[in-house]
Amino acid sequence: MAKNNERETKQHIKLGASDKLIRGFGYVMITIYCIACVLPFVMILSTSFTSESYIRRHGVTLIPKEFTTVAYKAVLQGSMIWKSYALTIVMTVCGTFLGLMIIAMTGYALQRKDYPFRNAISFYIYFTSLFSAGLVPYYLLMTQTYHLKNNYLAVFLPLLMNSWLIIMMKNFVKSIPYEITESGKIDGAGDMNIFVSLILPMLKPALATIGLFLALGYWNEWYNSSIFLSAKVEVKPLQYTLYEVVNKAASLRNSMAAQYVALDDTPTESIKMANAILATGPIIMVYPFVQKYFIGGITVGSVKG
Amino acid sequence: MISMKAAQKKKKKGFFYNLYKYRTLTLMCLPAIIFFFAFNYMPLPGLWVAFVNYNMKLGIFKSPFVGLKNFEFLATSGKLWVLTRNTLLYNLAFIILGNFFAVLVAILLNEMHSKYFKKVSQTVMLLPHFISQVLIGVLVYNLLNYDTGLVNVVLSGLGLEKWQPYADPKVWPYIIVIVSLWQSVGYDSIVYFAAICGIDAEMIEASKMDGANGFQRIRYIILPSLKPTIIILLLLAVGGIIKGNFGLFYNIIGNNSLLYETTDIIETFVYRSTMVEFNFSTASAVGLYQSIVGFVIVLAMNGLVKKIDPDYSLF
Amino acid sequence: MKRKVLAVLLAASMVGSLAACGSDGSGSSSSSKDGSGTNESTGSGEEGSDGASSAGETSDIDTSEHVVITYLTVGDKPNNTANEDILAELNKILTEKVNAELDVYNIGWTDYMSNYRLTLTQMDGSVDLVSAADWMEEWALAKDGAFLTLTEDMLSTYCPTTYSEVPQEHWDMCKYNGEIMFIPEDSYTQRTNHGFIYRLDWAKEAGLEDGVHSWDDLTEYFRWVKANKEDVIPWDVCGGNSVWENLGGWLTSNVDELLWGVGATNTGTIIKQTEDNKVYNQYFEYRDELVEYAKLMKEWDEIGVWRTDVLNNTSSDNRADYRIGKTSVDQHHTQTWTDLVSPGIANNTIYQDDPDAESGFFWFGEEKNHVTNESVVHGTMAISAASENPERALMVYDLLRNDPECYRLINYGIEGRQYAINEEGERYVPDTYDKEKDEFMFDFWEGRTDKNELKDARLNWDAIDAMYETLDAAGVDNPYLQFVFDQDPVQTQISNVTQVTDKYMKLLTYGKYDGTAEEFIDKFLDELKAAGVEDIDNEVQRQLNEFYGVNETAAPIE
Repeated sequence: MAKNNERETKQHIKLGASDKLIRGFGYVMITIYCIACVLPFVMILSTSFTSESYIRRHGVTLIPKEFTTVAYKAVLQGSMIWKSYALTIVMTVCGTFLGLMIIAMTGYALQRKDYPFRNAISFYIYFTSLFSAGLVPYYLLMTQTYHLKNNYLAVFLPLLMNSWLIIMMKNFVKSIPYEITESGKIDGAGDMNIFVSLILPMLKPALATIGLFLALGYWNEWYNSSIFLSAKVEVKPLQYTLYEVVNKAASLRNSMAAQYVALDDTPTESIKMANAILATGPIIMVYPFVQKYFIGGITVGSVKG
Repeated sequence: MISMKAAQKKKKKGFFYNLYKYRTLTLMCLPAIIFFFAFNYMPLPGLWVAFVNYNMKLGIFKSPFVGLKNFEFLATSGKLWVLTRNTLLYNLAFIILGNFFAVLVAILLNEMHSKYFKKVSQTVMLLPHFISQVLIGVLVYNLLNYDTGLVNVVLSGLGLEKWQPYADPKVWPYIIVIVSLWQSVGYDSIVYFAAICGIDAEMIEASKMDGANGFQRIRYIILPSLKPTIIILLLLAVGGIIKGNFGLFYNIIGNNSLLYETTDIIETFVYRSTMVEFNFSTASAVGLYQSIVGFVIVLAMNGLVKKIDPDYSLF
Repeated sequence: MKRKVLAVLLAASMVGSLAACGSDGSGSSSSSKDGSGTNESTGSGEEGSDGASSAGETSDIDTSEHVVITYLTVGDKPNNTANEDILAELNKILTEKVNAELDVYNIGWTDYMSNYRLTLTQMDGSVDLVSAADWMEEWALAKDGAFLTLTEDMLSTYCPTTYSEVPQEHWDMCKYNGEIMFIPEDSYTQRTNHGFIYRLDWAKEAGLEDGVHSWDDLTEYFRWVKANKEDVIPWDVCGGNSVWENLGGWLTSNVDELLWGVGATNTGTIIKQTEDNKVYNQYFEYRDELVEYAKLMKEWDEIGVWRTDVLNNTSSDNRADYRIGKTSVDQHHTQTWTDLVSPGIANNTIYQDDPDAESGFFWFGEEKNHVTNESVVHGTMAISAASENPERALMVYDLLRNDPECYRLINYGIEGRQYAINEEGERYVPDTYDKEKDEFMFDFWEGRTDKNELKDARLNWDAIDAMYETLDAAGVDNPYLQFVFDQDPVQTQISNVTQVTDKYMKLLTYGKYDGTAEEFIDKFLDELKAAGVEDIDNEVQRQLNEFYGVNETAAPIE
């Protein structure tokens, strides 16, 4: 890093004192922030490989102490975690794909300047982010009317889209000149055709960005699972599995049950850590591959300079 | 005259004409329309629960009507005020500090000349944006808890007195703001960084020729060109100022009632009222109040945005 | 909606319409089998006659349609097929006798209370039998309309054995607004009075020859443990845990008479044993005892009885640590002690590691010989108000509770796999038992009854029987169990008081307050007063007067 820095400096001989100051400050600040971003992950990773008795005695650590893989063995034994992975991956892939299609179609239609209903529909969609009925009516609707309790659809469907993603997509499509649609019309292509063959290929960064948001939404989902999937459903999405492991002890101990029910085996710290690593690992590994599109996408989609 | 003509023209192409002519576009919107109807509009009548004394056997619409009694309780206990205050203050801190640091990081990033450093640091800074709120809870707990937390491991390693944040409600606003910044600054800075990249390179070169130093360049060129972006993003954020980030608060604080005083926001209260105390009616009353206040704020902000740059108005 | 209306109609008209159905005779063959089956399998003559008397009635019940009865319970189902295997066995019997099968709908321990209540809120007929308990807010749920009203007709028709065995006064205790809501677990010997389970051998080493029998003994014991057992945290408790039990225990041990909580939980509203129907507030009435308590807890904190970070400790598992000798007490109830005192329980490795190891139990109130008897509504079974087959659910329950074969299946598992019976007729865990494969979970606590219990051979019965004898001799019934408080009129105050107590109780119980004990308690009392605790006391008194037809005034608070 230092060498690199030196070379760069040589290229710009004209740097003033203030530039050097800003640059120096910049390197220090950003490096500190980057370390802060990584450190907690190092902590979780190392602690997951540390023996439980060490954690109890000395606390968490940044370097594995009394190295052991016993926590991973405990988590990975049996087929549960694999089923959980499979479920999460299937949901993430299907949800992202389906959601993207719908969002892109809607986003395109809503920004067509000649489409007379665009304002009405935009408001119809946007309104949902302002007014929500709250947990209770929603729960009763999902369970009593739609009968989705203990059904993966209760977790899958609500994550397909939200008004923000549609608005974001609308902004993306805006950056594509209307002339393209018009040229398609002149060639006699239908709206759907124009969308699929002319617009969609130009939306790659947008699809990557919104796709990643959707994928993150699915991968990190725990809330709907906690409400709609009871213990009757054996296989749960990964993050909810983590949530259960982390909160089992706490939710018991803060409750009346602790007075009466004699309970043993609550998960150990290292098992919680191993769960955390296993639940987070894959999405972090995927990220570098889509980073290029993603950063490009945020840039276009949000706000121009 | 002209407007009358326009009106006539519109009348000719009536609703059904348009419906037919643009049927493909409407069809393209249909899945989304159905989706939002099923999951967002269908539950709305259920808001009635805020005005009844809820009974499971009777259901929402047959439970005895109690008028505004559920709101009365919230108002007289002072609860509503505390929740509103907490939610607003937290969001204000998130918005102001978040944007400040995002702009700072973006500007600094722009000053870096090593491409490699830029790329790696961008990747790393986005990392926190990718993890679930459950994991955030795990991270915070393992950093801060008294016996095994990293901070205390380090403190006691240095022979210093240990820190006991989980028993001290006063420190939590700071902790939560820091955690929120930690998660969002990297992402937000990319938006601003992109805006900076969009600034005419010649302008910057010219300023250098004129002998402007780094501070002057930032002060007179970069910041002014970021101004519209900043204002728009701020206004959009203010629209959501009464909505809290439930997952963040819930996973960090959990059921530690010792800390509610300073960490209870509308969302966590609604969740607890619903899921722990099972006070459906109170929970819904708070939710309804939040929706209405939020609605008014958004309308106001949207009006403002429209004035500044109609392109970014929401509707 | 349709379904719900149907369910309500069904419930309302059940008795009449079903009697009519019965006359067409369909399926009577299977139900007469039921009668004789119960008759054969119930052991004693007395129950046999009940079975016989019910046989006549049940033969009129139409069970021609095969139904699935879903039983809602709380617990984590192990990752194996043991539950299914046991259910398969059980359902053979249930199908034969009442043409029904049992399905288990379990709620995991994570956020169990929320999920349990949400599931009941659904009201879509997804559950029938509901395990309820005072620690699962059974009364609040009954008030909210979650449970079906059980008429005496229904009970005597579909649940005849249970109905005849539960005495009228116990049914009365299951009433909300004059209507029976629950079937009590009233004939199972258990005690959930709290106390400290401790190492008797260590107490002896510490010079307490007879063991720990008072709070002072306990303090001495903790001091000794701290000084002599380096790796042991005297009481590795998690913050938030044991807060109420501990304070309640202190009052039971230090006040001259028993106190019974009435009205809302944790607002300190109580009635004294000696003053019928008069409402007091324990915090104000026993301020001096509270100050003493605060001082003692501070002393414990200074001794280092618990971790410094006790308030936020959620990770340590006190009971597991006790079993392996890493902590010196477990604050829990008598039932838990019966487990921990027994060397036969494999997890209790302290007894293998140290042949001298012994466990004692210092029960709260021991100094004054004060203990309240178990409430018969501590654990109960209810029927969901939305159940589509409430009558069959009751029939299934009657079998699960009274038929020894069904009883053993649901409580112990399959003979030879999850349990075995030795020559003395006691049950034990067979060598072939593999926890991974054979562990099961029904948590059918609410249907247990002594007549069908097999003694657990692993338990230390000498010690347990002696303890029960002592507690039975001292035990007094709480006469106020039937009174159900309606919180609505003072909801604001309860919410405020709960916030105050939430804050202070933890600080108090773990000695984590600044300043003197007197200042701390007075501040606590001031805040309680400001939160409106007096309104709650008065409201409880008002409702109590109405309920018992008396005219008392709540004691003013100072």
